[in-house]
Amino acid sequence: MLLDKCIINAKVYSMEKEDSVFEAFSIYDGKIIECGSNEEILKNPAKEVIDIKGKTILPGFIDAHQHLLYYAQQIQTIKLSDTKSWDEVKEILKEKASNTPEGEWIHGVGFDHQAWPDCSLPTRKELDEISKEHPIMIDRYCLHVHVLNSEALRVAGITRDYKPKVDNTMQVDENGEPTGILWDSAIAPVLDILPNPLNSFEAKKEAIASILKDMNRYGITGTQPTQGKIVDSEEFIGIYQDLEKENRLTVRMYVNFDELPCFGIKTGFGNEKVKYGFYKIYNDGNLGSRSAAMLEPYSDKPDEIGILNYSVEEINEMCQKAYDMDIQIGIHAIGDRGLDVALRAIEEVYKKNPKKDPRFRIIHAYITNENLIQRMKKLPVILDIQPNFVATNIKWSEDRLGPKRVKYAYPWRRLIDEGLILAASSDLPVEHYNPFFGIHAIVTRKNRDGFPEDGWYPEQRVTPYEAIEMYTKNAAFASFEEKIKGTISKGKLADFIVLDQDPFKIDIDQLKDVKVEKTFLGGEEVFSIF
Amino acid sequence: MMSKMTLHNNIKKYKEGIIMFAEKKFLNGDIYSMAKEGEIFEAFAIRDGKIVAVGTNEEIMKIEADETIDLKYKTVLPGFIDTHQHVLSYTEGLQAVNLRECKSYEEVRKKLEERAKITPEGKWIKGTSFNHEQWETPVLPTRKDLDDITTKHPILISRYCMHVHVANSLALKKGGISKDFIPTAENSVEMDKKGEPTGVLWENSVTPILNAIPNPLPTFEDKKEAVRKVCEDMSSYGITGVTPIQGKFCDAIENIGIYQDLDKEGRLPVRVYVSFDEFPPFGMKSGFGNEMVKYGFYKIYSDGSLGSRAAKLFEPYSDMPETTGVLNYSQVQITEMVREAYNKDLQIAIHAIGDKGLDIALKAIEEVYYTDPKPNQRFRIIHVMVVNKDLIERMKKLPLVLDIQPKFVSSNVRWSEERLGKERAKLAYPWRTLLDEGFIITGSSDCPVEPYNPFLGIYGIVTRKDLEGYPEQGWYAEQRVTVYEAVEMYTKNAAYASFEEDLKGTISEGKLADFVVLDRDPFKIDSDELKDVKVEKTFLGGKEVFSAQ
Repeated sequence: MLLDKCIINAKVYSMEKEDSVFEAFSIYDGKIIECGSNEEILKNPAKEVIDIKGKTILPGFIDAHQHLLYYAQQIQTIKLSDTKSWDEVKEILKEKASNTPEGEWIHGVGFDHQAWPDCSLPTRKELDEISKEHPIMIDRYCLHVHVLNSEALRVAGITRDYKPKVDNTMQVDENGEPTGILWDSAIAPVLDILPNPLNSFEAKKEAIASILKDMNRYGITGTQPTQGKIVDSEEFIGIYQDLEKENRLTVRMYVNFDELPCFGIKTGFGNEKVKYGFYKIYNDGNLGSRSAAMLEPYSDKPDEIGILNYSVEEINEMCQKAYDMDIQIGIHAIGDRGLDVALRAIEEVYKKNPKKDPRFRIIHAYITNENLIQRMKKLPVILDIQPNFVATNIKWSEDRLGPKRVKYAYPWRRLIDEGLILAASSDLPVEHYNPFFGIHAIVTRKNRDGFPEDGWYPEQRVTPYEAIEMYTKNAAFASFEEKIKGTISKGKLADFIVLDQDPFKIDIDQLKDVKVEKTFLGGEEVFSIF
Repeated sequence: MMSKMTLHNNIKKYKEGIIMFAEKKFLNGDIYSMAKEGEIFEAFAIRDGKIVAVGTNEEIMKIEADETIDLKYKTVLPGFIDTHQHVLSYTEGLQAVNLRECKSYEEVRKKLEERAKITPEGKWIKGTSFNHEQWETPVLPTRKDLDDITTKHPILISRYCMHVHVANSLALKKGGISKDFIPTAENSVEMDKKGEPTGVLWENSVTPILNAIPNPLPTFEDKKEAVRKVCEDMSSYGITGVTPIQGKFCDAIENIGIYQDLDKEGRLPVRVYVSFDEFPPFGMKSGFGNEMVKYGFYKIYSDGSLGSRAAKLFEPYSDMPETTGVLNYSQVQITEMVREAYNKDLQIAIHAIGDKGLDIALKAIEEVYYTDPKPNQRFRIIHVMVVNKDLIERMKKLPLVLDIQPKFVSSNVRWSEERLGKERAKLAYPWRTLLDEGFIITGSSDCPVEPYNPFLGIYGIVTRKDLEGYPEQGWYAEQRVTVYEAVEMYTKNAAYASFEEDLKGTISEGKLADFVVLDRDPFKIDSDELKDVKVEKTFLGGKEVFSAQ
């Protein structure tokens, strides 16, 4: 039999189990035919033999949670993610206002006031100093906090009389006037009128195509774009479907929605390139903006305990409906109370009618406690975590949570030891999608500047092998695809990457610098540094 | 590392066909590829569910394979694709009383009486597929006739076309259909002289009654098992692909999850292109799915059926001069539906039986397509039973596929001329004319309207006779097609209709190994014998899914 490719002289970590390392493997029709020594693999002829020259090969990375189309739209807006102070933001926005016609929106995205010296959120007053003629909105990188100037509030019709759907999601001053700060769904009236920078299907598709090419540079061969209508982040299966048809889809997709499908469609409908994924429920907010729902008040703001987007009954009902339709369920849960409510809903539907292999997904799962851990262990859950969050949030997590809870924050070592399955993701646009940033963060528990030197609560560190498992084998398991991808083994899709160094043999501080040299999808090279 | 020299030698060996590997090779066949007329092979080899080589015995024998199968010079064709069925609705119908073979109302009455005896009072009795046109006295019954059977059970019987229904008094009551009932389409509830409903209902006026009937397959698992059985039965007729269609409109629901589950469990023996009269979720487009289960097209019902005189004609029915049929939507509505689907990049299929029904379907397509012509469109017109010269000329300018039912002409030989009159009948079921004009025509059963045995359709369209051989010379025999053309409709053309011509529809290298082995050669027998051709084996993706032994 004539094979398509033989990959030889490599250090292939199959990721099936920790010591499973090969020299070579062969590929036919997009799949891995055999793994073994150079000699074994070269027994069968191939159209092409690729000598890897001793470099390391891993399965392609799978990012289990992204908001891809939202990111595509966001990169059309003004990027504030690297700003180090309010003055810097102001500078950037002023510059933009000076060359934007009056009345047109100025939309800045990705700031993080926690990274500024005084750590305080601006209000409409500060934004008004930039312009009163342009409606201005800036979004925190977490997408849960927004600040508007007076003109933006005016055109959106947000006044002191505005009643957001969820209580306490609009900040008002002592006179009852909106300060311009809005959380979560309170932003809805603005989203209704904000012009879309990618307003045609073709524009969206092209923007996505270029991001996928870029993801290949970082070794990503699979991702899970997730629609969150609640935060105005839409997804369209048709975009990926068209790119596939045009042979331009270089990342496999498992597309998720916070709405239920019609036509009786179930999770997994589609093919190896594009599938319909899970039903997402947004349970609570996030930690940075103190909207994650907590059992006890925030340590740095004792009058706040966060926000639940739905009542317990509503969440139960949403879960029940999706469960009855045989649809995988993914629940966003950041605070311990958010997680408690999510687990209750899962317990309720699952215990009443235990189905064979439902794989409920808890997205984020930052703050746990003994009780929550014990309950999770009893349920068929997968935790979709963001390895890089621990690094990004080092400077303020302890303030928010206080010394007791913080021991159960980002508790990855503990959860792995308890036998839970963790899948990794960037939550793009929240974090960049370079998996080695995530791997570095979760292994070292330091930010990329090396802070803190000994790692933040280093007892919760994981090993590089565990971290890479989260991006490969476990991420494939999360989408019921463990039989077709996630490891380098016989019969699986030939999705793999060649690295410039061996991540298992270097100092862990260097993990952030590992580079992908080549990416293969279904046996075809989709990226090469050379 | 392998030397360049070794590698080169291996490629040479491969090219010589010595070391190629296959799972199965089939030798000694009469294999009609259907790629073009006259293309016949002796043998082929398959691997991973696909055809990897076709050729002579000598060529294929060189290929290494795990298994060699001797076809014993039997005829092999690509698997049949039925481009229009209501599968789930058919499975539900199987739970009802089947009235298809009844030759008189007396027979219908007997069957329903028997069912009433064993049915608890108050429970529904549903009868399907009657055809009063084939009764000794071809007159529709009324509620009074059905009331004579029982007043304790609600009864609803539906004509095989699913466009005409008769209810008894209790069923009318349960559906809330009284003298004051206002149907959405005018004149779709028959009233007696006193203005009371007679029990005869056309088109969607039956919806309130259908809504009142509990589903005979209440759980998802019930439905799935019933669909599986039907799909397996289809395999025994050589069907390897089908387009199940939802018509919410006539209570024919479809559910992708059923096929998706059966596929996952490895129990789906036919490929499906599931189509709906609603828009899909999540920006999904036609063709989404895998080689087994795909989302198909968006269906619009323009008019009714000919038998029930609900198909919309320009001129009145010849045998009922006061009616021209029923349009389900206005021109503006249809055009808007087409436009919306077109903008979503969905394939569009319009049910159009009467010439006027076809006219408004074409107008909608013309309006939308000419305003913004997109490449590679395949609008589908379903049925196309009555045409005229103007309609043909307009159709020729559009990128159309015509989904016809080859068996209709044969089922309808006894009354079509009465309905249409001699002049219109010349261009009724005008298959020869349309083929000569270059149209791409696909074959389907419209199950449950007709049984899905493709050879009944092939016989019908080739002979233009009914199963009893009437009329002897064929009905408007100048519209006959050849056996090759008929088989093309169920294979190559049907694959084209769903944008799958690179994947299936012919026996060629690279295509899915979906094929059938027949008990005789349909190209070499007397055309009257076509209805008796039997399938001996059916293969799907190289796996045997049916064997007559």
